[in-house]
Order: sequence, then structure tokens, then C-alpha cells
Amino acid sequence: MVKLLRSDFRRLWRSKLFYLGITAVAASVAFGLINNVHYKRIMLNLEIPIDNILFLGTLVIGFAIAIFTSFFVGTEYSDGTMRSKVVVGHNRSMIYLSHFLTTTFAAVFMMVIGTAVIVVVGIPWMGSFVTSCTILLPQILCCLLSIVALNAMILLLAMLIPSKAICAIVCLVLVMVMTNMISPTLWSKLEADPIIPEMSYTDSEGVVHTQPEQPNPHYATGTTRTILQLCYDMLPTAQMYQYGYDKIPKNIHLFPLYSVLFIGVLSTVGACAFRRRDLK
Amino acid sequence: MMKLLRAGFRRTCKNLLFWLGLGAALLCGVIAALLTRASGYLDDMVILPFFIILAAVISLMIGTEHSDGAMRNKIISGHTKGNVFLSQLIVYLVFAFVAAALYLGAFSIFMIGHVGAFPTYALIVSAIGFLLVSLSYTVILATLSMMISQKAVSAVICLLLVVATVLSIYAIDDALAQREFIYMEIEMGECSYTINEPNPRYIGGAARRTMEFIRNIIPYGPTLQYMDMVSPAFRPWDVTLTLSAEEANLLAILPMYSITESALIGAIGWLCFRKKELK
Repeated sequence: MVKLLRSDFRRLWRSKLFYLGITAVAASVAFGLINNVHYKRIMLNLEIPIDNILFLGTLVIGFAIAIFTSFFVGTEYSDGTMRSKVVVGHNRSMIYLSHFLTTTFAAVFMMVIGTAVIVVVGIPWMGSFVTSCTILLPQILCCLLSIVALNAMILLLAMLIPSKAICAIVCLVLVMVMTNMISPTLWSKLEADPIIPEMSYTDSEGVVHTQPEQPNPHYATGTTRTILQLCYDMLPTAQMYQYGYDKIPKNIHLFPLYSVLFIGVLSTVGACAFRRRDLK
Repeated sequence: MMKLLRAGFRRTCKNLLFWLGLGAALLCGVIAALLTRASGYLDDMVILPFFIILAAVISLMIGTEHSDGAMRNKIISGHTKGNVFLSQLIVYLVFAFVAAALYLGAFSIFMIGHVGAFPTYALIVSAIGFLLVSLSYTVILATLSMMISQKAVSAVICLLLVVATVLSIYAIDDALAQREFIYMEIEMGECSYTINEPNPRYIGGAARRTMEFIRNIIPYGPTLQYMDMVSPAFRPWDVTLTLSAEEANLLAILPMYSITESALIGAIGWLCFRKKELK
């Protein structure tokens, strides 16, 4: 295991893609920070504390992880390294674990650099944190755990799809769908008002029509709402979506539990499937 | 050239990815229609997957030509690089055309009975415009894939390019949507004040014209503009008898942008591919 980890980390430090990923996350976070400050503080004259944009990196880290992890593992397949590791007697579960630890480190490192950019550039501009350290630190840890959960999902796909190109496309499309389609849809379903307020309008003939207050047919209730809420709190991209916007997520206390469950289930499934996989 | 085209079409038709791409385009059209029927609003999120399919299929298929050595073999057997590029471009343009036609066909069939009163010519020109936008995307994606020999790298770059076009158009649209003046009415007891001050976010003059030009050049820009224009047609209770002069003008010029852009990028790609070293 130590040998596997040593070789994977050595490859990681030499990987240009890793540094490219760090640069891309840092650059997009810096752009987001400048955009936020310029728009909200200068244009709208709003005072926004740095706490509100601390997790800006969560909106882009998914794409960086999808590309990095699929390439990192895909190269092992295309170069035959994966097969060589098995041939020299390494346990497949250990290979999986070693990849999990290496890519998790890379993903967390990218996020830490992104957050550091916000802190270093943002504090002189926007002042220090408003929230106390005891609240902020657990939030940061929860966010990092969500990133690990997302990486576990991407790694599962990367370990099971030997073609680097197909794997990269599948991972990227999955992250796009989860981040830009599923998460906003869940948010809009859960945040819909239960009641449509009374409305009145005047038509072209001057007659005033009044529509009384009525229940919103799109408001999810009962089991549907519970399932939607569970998905919204459990999916790593939905968690990251909640961190990426201004306020503290409502069910943040449940996030670590869900993330750990997510990581445990996906890693176990991935390791079992990888053990049965025919490495040609 | 004819041999290249024949070989290209034969290889493409035997490729599972080609049929998967067409199937996915058809499915996207059906889903887009169902979502539009449910909401009465044509959201651009129902069109984006189509462009992602184009990016994935084109980059993977051209990438396979590179990795299998088929591209190099064509050169060795005496075909010029310019002809190889052109034949590939034509094959993928036909693929994109068929995929876009399937998407539009499925969308139209499932929208029958859910269209309000709307000028027919606007719907037809917008549909043609969408086909041209798909061809523009195809030229860009095929050129990129031909220039990047590594399949995985080209696939990622093509997908990210599609996302980048979407994000850049959102940013440009947001900037152009700002009003020139901020108008506010404030009531304080019996007195009321009206504030009408210049909006600092408004972009005017040459900068606005440049941004409008960029919006028309990036293929996703015309797509959004066509969608905004025809969106009221998919609300059966809405009645639109004529388009505004600005909309009619857009319908006339947007296809020109797509055609010019496709021709220009195709020509640049052709020139660059002729100088490319195929290892």
C-alpha cells in the first residue's frame, strides 16, 4: 500500500494537469471574487462580508475534479500501469484505495488553494470574517467532505471505464447535469411558495379581475418533499450548490453524515466492481 | 475526394457512436417538447444537451480517426491534407444536419396542438437558424478535433468550449440587458419623489455594438435570440400576429452571421490542418 501511495503521489506531483487544475480553480475563484465585489459593492453599494463568498470555489471544483480524476486514472489504463500493478502482486482493493486517497488529496488541495485565494485577496478588500471561527471551521470541513464525496463518485466511474476519452466525457456531463440541472431544479421545487398570493389585474376594457389566494399546485408535500429534500441534502453537487450561494445551508448539520455514507457506499461498490473487472 | 467522402460516410454509418448520437438527439427533442408543453416556456436548458451531444460525438469520432491512424493512412495513400479535412468536415456537417433535423422533428411532432397564434415564417426561419447554428458548432468542434490529435484532450476541450460559449453568452446578455436609466418612485408621507439617474452598469456606444457583434458571432447567442423570439409561440393562450421591426431584422441577419462564421472557421481550419504534422 505504501509503495502504491508513494508512486501515485510521485505521479501527482509531476502531473501538469494537477497544476493546471489548481491554476484554473484559483483563476475562476479570483474572477468570481472580483465580479462579486465589483457588482455588489461598487455597483449596488451592498456590504457583503467575505464569509458569503468563501465557498465560491464549490461552483467550479466539480469540473476540475471530473477532468483531473478521469485523466489521472485513465492514463494508468492507457499506459498499462494498472495492469502492471496487478501483475506485480498488488491487491486491487489497495490500488483502488490508493487512487482514492491520491485523487482526494488533489481535489481537496485544489479547493484549499481556491479558498486561500479568496482569503488572501478578499480580506484586504472586504475586511475580515464576520462569522466566528467555531462556526466557520466546521462549515469548511463539511464543504471539504462534500468534495471528497464527489471525488468518490467520479473515481468510481474512472476506475470502471478504461477509455480515458469516454470517461472524461461521462464524468464531465454527469457533473454538468448534477450541478446545472438537478441542483437548481431541486432548489426551485423545494423553495416554491405553498400559496399563490391574491392577484388582480385590469383588462383592456378597464374591468378589474381578482384571482383569490390559492394553494400552489407545484408545491411538493409529503413523501415527495421528503425525497426531494433528501436528494438536495445528500447529493454532493447539491450540497456544493448550497454552499456556493449566500446563506448557510439549512440542513448543514446532516451534510457530514450524508457525505460519509455516500463515500462509504460508492467506494465499497467501486472497489468490489473493480475487483471483478477484467483488465485487458 | 469522392473516395474520401465514401469511406468517411461508410465508416461513420458503421460507428455505434453515430447512431447513439442520433438517438440521443431524438430523445432530447422529445424531452424538450414535453418540458416546454408543461411549462409553456422554451428554456435554453432543453437545447444545451443537444450541443453537448454534438461535442461528444464529433470529438470522439474524429479522435478515433487520429488514434487508429486512419487520418495518417489517408495521407500516406496520397490524399492531400486539405481534402482529408474537407471530407471529414462534410461528413460531420451531414451528421449534425441529420441530428438537428431529428431534434427539430421530434420537438415539432410533440408540440402539435400546443402552439398559439404566431407568424409561421418566424418559426420556419428560426428552425433554419437553429440548423445553421448547429452547423456552426460542428465546424468549430470538428476543426478543434482535427487539430488536437489526443482523443481525450479534444473531447474535454470541445465540451468545455460548449460550456464556455453558454457562460459567455449569459454574461453578455446580462450586461446588455441593463437599462440606461434607473427609475424609482419614492413616497414619503404626502410627498413623492422620482429618481431617474444613469445606470452605472449600462453599456452604450461602441462597446455596446461590439458586445452585440460578439453575441451574434458566438453560436449560442443566435440560439438564445431565436428562442426568446419564438418562445411565445409555445404558449397556446398567447396571440402574436407580427414581429417587431427589431426582431424581423434579427431574423434576417442572424443566419448570415452563422454562415459567415462557419465559412471563416472552416477556411482557417483547412489552412491550419494543411500545416499540421500528423505523427
